[in-house]
Amino acid sequence: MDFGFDPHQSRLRARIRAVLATPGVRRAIDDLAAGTGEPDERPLYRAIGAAGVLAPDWPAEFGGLGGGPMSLAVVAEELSRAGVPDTLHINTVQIVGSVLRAIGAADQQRRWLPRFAAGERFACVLYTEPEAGSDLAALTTRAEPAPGGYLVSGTKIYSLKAALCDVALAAVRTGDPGSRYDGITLVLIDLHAPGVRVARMPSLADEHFHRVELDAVFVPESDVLGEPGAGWAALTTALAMERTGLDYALKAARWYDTARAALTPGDAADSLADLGRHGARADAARLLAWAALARLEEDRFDPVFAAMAKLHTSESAAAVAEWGAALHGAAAAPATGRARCLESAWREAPGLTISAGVSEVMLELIAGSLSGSAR
Amino acid sequence: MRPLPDALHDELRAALRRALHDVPPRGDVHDLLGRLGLHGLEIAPAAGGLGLGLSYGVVVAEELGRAAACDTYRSGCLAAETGPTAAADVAAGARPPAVAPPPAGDALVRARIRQAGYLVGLAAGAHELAVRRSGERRQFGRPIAAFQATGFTLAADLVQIEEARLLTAYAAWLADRDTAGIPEAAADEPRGWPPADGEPELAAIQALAAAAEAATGVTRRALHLHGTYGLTGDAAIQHYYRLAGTEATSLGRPAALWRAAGHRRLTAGPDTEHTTAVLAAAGKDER
Repeated sequence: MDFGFDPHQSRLRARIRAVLATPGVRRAIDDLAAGTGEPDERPLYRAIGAAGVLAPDWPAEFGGLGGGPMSLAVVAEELSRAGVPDTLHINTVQIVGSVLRAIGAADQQRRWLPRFAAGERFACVLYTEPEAGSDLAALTTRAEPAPGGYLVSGTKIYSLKAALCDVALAAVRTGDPGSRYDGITLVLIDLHAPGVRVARMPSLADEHFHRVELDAVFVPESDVLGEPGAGWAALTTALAMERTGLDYALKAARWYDTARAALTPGDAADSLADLGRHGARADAARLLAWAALARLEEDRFDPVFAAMAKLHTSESAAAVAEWGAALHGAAAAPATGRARCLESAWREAPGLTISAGVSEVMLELIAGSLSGSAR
Repeated sequence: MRPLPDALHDELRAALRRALHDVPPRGDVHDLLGRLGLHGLEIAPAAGGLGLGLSYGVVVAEELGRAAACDTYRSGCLAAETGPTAAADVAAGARPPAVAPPPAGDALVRARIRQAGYLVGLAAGAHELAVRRSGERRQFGRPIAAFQATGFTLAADLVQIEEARLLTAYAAWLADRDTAGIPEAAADEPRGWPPADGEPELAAIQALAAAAEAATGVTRRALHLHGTYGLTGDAAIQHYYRLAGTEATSLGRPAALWRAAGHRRLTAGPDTEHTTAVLAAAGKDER
């Protein structure tokens, strides 16, 4: 057991911290905070990406530093600490980039990974459909064979940042419409291609969703990831590997610190036990996330442990947000920065226990692993 | 950073688990631990011990709890640290006094971490019994584990146990680091890191509180999943439940521990002037 960061990790942390402290990056972060509505973080990511620290777990030829999953986690922690919104990074580098590295062909990797690492191009995920949420195998978006590729038609929803992105990783059906796990294919869709229509879906949270209508969008064969029809295994692996829970644990820590700092003397006597309890939950969330990351780092990825980490971290962040709202209220027009943070947390929290695997599915996965159970 | 058991943890756990396999609940394991040479696990080599630290001590405590054993490991370590029994005698297998004065200072921190380990073990042992029982017990034509209400209870309990286990392992690591005098990391930690603000006292308090609630909650739900059979004298599970009731409060009641943890969190807060006012309002008697 070692809960300390090693010198290599500390050096990386110092390096990204220095990048985030440069005037150009600082200015881009301040510009985001000053704006109204959902901000466009692309200029900020371009400024950070120019320093080559966005994808430290990728090989140097793809714009990385040759580290492991833990190095990416160090960067994610520092982005969060500096107040950099994380969705573009999670989707582009952590999800789409990881899938490309796992099953992408060499030319696909060469085409996209260096631009993702540099913050020049951004990716989002198109999995969910109106009738396919937790039960993703029910997806119906069709990919019909066409000369040189496929024509893709269907509706994808709840996609974050789609309006800012260049390319999407989509799960589509190339096989028999009646089947479930067979015939699902992962493809890259050019979001600027004819037939793609992106519409905003307003959300309770600060970040809005998008509905992406695909009307006979041409996808060349060169944009198919892995074997056509065999995408389900890659999809479930990719979903499971998203579940270290680090981003949820970081939110729990940030919201806990804010609620603690905003405590009034009048609240304090009543709140001591809650302060202790939620502090422990936020700590445990972080420890679970790093324990899941350590398993990834050593190629001992364990989908059940990841489900435990996802469940714990997201439920903890939601519990901390609820506590913060109960302490400070979630008024519509909060006055101070702390109150604004806690009010925003209250609106963001319900999404955490749904995204990347709803809590009930995590419980199913864990329950199914218990020996002696007949599930 | 490697928050995973190392090879020695795994070896120690496996050896102890084998040795404790046939020990009945609430069995006396003093001599068994002596044969394994474990009384001196945490005692300095100069006093005839292994000098392995709390990180390994909590593994021993957890396995003892998992077997619902009546051990002298925790009281022996404490006696060696506070003086009633010489460390060399404890390492050599002397029984510690049955009744000891309540510990304080570093000895209390270390005793709480070991206690947390034992409570994690009680919860884990009870959980394993519940998993086995609910896989075997059939009602309405299928194992009761196949019902989602049962499966979800077992799944959520596994997460609660893992939470307490990690908080305990972290507290043990922090206490070992403190003892070894390794300098604190510079002020370049990420937000919310290190857990428990890097204080062994706070880490021990929250590990014990979390482990105590895991033990009382998980053993209660595990007994429930046994049905009425679980209440009978034949059922091993009732021993876990009984032990959880006494062991969960022996070094501080969870409610008081959570308040003490909250008080420490305030003193580590970022805004000193503000915090002073909050602390004054909260009262200064929380420890």
